Amino acid sequence: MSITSMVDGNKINIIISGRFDFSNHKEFCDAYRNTPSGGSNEFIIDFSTTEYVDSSALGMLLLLREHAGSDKADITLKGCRNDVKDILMLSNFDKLFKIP
Amino acid sequence: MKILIVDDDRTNRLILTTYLKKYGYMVVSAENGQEAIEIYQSESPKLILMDVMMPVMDGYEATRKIKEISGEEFIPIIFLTALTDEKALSQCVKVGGDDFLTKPYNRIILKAKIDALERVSQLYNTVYAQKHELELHQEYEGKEQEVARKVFDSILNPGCLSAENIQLHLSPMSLFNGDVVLAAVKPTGGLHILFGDFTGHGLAASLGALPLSDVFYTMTAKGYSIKYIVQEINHKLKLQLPTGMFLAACLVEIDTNNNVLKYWNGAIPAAYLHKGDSVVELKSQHLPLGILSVDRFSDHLEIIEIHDKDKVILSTDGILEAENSDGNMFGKNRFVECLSFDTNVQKSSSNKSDSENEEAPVDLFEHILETLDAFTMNQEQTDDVTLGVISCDLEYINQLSTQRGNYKKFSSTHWQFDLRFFYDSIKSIDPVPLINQVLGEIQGHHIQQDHLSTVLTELFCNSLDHGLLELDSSTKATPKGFMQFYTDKESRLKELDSGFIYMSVSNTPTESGGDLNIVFEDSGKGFDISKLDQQDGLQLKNDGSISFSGRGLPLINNYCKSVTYNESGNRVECIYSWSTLI
Repeated sequence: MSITSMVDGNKINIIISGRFDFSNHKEFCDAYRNTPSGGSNEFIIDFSTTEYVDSSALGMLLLLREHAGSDKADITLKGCRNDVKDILMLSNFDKLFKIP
Repeated sequence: MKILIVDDDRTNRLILTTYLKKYGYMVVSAENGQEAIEIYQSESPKLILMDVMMPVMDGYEATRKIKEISGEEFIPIIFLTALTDEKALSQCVKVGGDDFLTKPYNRIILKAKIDALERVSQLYNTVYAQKHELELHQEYEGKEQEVARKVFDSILNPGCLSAENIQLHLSPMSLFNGDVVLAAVKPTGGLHILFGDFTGHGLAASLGALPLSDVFYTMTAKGYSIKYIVQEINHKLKLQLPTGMFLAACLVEIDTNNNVLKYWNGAIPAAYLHKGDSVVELKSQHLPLGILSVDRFSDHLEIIEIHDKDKVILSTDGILEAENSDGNMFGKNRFVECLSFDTNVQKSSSNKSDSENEEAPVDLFEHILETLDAFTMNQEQTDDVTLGVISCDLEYINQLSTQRGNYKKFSSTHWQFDLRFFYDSIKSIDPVPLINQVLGEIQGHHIQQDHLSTVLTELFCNSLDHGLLELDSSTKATPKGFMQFYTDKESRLKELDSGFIYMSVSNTPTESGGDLNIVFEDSGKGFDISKLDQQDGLQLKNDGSISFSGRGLPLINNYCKSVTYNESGNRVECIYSWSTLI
């Protein structure tokens, strides 16, 4: 499992590979912590190589959303595999995040 | 450091002793293996230099015994031996020796080996101490969890989880997986069930259970519908839990008065209604609880008609994520298959005579657990599984309500109260809970407050929206207009600087209860009733659920015996019947 992040202007790309659960808590927070908070950034979380998400991972996404300006946040969860998408949709996270 | 020298040759012992003392070591010595063991126990040396060939007991045997006695403590033993064949040397290590040196030995090498083993020994002792500390910590945490579990048990269990129609598989430590199951009987008849799964694990995951059970039991006992309970739980959890912690939950209300099941599901993956010949999924339509603020939260309930003995099946993700030895998950498909298997059995047995039908042994609850066990081939996995099967045994549920109804018996009497709210108080007071509270004080819980609350809420909203604020409900037809409507409502309410809403409720006793006469009047210009009727039309979907726009006037019509508007549309009078017989 690994988390890589790239900053391109006000676009922040975060790629999550393997399992995304509580063990990645610190790593995931580190990936966005130094970006400016509030609604000025666009976050793209790349889930195309993510195998699994658990409820702590959903919690971490909510923490990111809060950092990125809560209702003003612009966060896309892209490339979700079917089973990951199922979990996100079950929790109705499409109401808080863009899930193409 | 204290070193023990074991050698039957006195000269050897003396030379070594002198040499080691030069480096500041304390030295004790023994003439044979037997003596070595005795001195090891009385002097506790930290390192032993061991000869092999000795009278009474040889070095191999002594080493084996000392290593046995020392247990988890690390006591390095270096063999000093005249033997040179490989077999003898490998035997040194085999019996527990840590190193060896052949005689005649080089003193510098011996000193180097002692230093090296001293370092290993220190490292070992550090790790050992940490391990010990960790064990103590774990033991402490185990005890703490045990205490917490007892406390939580008494807090979570005032409900009716032990009722005969509820089958539950819940691990004693489920709370620390974040799983919570609550059930309580409504005073007006009916059953509330909450199936929840908090984010994370451990004690932190269980803390939210305290406000949760408090709200659930208190509000159920007061006769509130799950619509209000879910609102309040969301509000409390949002307020009290940190961001990132939330509760996936499914709330189910079995309404025995109207034979319907109402549910609100936010992220519980497996929730079904088994209707004998078909299975309906109670789909997750909401975000989990504790995420959205009050203004964005949706308390919309889905409603399904139920029949006697229909079954509600609820499970958290423990079952779906249970893995077999190949690493495959049990999954939703297998779970649904389990449910339909039972359906088939029931179908085929229904063709047989009644007596045989009663003997049909397949129990849905057992069947699911057995299928899971067969899949995982491992009983222990069921520790993470929380499964509940609740039978909608309508008569039994009503019995529960009467048994548990320790409520004061009220008889229906004559009374009336009037309230008049002016523009500024309307901005801050919600009259519906207030009226409910007054009704509760006067007539106890006989009056079905959820229906009445709906009627009162709709009447109040009509008076406010269309009377005082002059909003046009036709804008609500499109999703965009829907939002617009509420934006307009907010801004107009803020600007409101005159007007009032008058409400009056009176009771006329009847044989079985009473007729409430409810009047709402507002100072507005009124509105065209026929127009409103069309736009807020009750939309019943094919599956029996009521769609989001299905509120308003038709709902009032549905629950009231009569609804009469005056010509100008600013005064409405309704008759709402209630009964003491459940």
